[in-house]
Amino acid sequence: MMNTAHKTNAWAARVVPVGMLVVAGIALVEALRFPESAGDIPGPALAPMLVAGALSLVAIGLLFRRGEGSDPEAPGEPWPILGMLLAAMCGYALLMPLLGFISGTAILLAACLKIFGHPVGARGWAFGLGAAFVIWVVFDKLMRVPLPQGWIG
Amino acid sequence: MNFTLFSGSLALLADPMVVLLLVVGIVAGTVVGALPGLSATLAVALLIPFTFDLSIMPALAMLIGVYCGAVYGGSIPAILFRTPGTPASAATVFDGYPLTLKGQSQRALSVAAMSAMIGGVIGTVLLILLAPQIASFALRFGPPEYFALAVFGLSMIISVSGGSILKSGSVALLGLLIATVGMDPISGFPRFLFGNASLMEGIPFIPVLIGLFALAEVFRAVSRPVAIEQTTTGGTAWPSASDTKLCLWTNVRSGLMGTAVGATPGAGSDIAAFMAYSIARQRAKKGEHFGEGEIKGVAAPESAKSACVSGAMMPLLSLGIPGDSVTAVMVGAFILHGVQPGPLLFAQNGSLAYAILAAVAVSHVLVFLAAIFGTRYLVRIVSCDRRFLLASIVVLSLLGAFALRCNMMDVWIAIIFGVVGFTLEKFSYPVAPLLLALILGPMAEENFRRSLILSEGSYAAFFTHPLSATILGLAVLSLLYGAWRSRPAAQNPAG
Repeated sequence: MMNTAHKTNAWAARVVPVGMLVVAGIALVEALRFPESAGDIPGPALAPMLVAGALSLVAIGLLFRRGEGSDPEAPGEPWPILGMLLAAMCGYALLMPLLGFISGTAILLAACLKIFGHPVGARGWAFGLGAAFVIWVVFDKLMRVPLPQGWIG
Repeated sequence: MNFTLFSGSLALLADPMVVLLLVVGIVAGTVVGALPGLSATLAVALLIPFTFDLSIMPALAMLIGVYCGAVYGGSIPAILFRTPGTPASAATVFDGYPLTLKGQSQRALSVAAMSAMIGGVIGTVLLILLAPQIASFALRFGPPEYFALAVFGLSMIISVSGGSILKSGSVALLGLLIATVGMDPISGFPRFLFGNASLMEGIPFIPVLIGLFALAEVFRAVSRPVAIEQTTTGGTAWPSASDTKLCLWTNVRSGLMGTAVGATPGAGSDIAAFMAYSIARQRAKKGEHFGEGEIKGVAAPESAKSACVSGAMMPLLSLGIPGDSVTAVMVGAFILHGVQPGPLLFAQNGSLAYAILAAVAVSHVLVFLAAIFGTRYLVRIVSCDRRFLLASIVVLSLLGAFALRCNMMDVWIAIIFGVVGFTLEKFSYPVAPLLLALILGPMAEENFRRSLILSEGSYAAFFTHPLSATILGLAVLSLLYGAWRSRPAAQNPAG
């Protein structure tokens, strides 16, 4: 059981170096299209190619390093909660410009409370609307940061 | 410092708005620092958007207040509830909580506040004496030296970030690569835009830091909820004369050490606090029982971490290199207000530079007063329902990212970097090197290429200039030290 957990952790730990390798690969391919150096003047591709090359080497080193993995004894992540929180943030980024700042923010606050395990009743909605209104006053009225009006406001 | 500079900086600091925001920052910072799981970096990152509409001095005063307040605030739950508010306060738990169990929480809190003030003042005096000298020396630097300095800053944070040097190095390289997005500093050629013109000026710094430090912190808080074990509602009183005398030398020694650690790029207040605690413990006299409620065990880490705040400002103000992750975040505030920290700050904007130094000193004293009079009320806030707080942090983070350019793209950047920050930390990759690389990357690239242009393409330019050769040598040494420290035998001494 522990061995399986350890293997799963070891595979999961490769997510980061693999991600780095992908980023470095994309950067290298893209940098090849940049203008060449002109004589003694180094071109715009020099730094990205040096850094992406070094990142690829280090990521490969990390990928094949022994003993990689998070602590198998550590408790698992509450993935459904983290996923819902991430979805709420993405939903906010998509919908807030359409709905408007106050309504969008009140919904996000209520959603977050629900995700964090708070029973969203009148208190939760009052908190959401109240906090959204206070933030709107501070940013839009006092600091003159134009916040999206949207359909509802 | 001449009279014009002195009066100019005094006028900047005496502005009622500056004083008010300094106090607001201290209160906000102490509250955030006292809430377990929320760091000084998060406090500063969250408050930067509130400074958009302010001029530079009130904005910096607030952020300095937040920084000093948060560093102290973390010790309140460490002493009262055995739950450090910030990682830097973990060393305070060892003797602070046993004092609480003995019914001496008030004594522990008083000594913690006093030690923080003494350490902070020692650090600030050194900062005032040394920062202008370092800045004046750095005015002689040319492109090779600036490149070497950026490399040194990065190598230091890679080697002291803890854990594997490969992991720290990979994160720093990722940060350097991200820093190349946008217009090339020499030729103006657009790089890695992928059709998105809003990236022309590069990946915006503030959404990145909000994602890495605020949103990632919320993910972490959800992932590992902190249980607070409350034993007392304590308060703070003036420290007794006997405790003041007993801890004086410990405070001075720890303050000097904390300043030195803070001034080392990459080494933060957590390292300073643990170093000071372990030295105080090693030097324990007969009858001093560290770990069982020894008052010097509270004084040492408190003095060191507070001094570290001033120490971390030293490389930031004099060289433009942040000393830790909080000062790295503060660079965002400087840039936002059109001021470049570094050697030219003292030469071109001396009044502002000295006003910042004075604000650091005043902050340490005000934190002491806030601790004496406000701890009782703070304890109630620490015990509040954290779900409301976390929900508010999510909204303030996303809004803070949006408010910079009123561009939803920045909100997406904050969310992406929130996920990146959480993932990196989950697999024990330090996040601070990424942020420092984002700050130092453009400086390194620009000066690297300028040096090559000036030397007609010869890489020898970096080694024929004595200063740049020395700094690069130090960078190599620090990386070698980091590699030696992170070798498997050092990580697992038991085998």
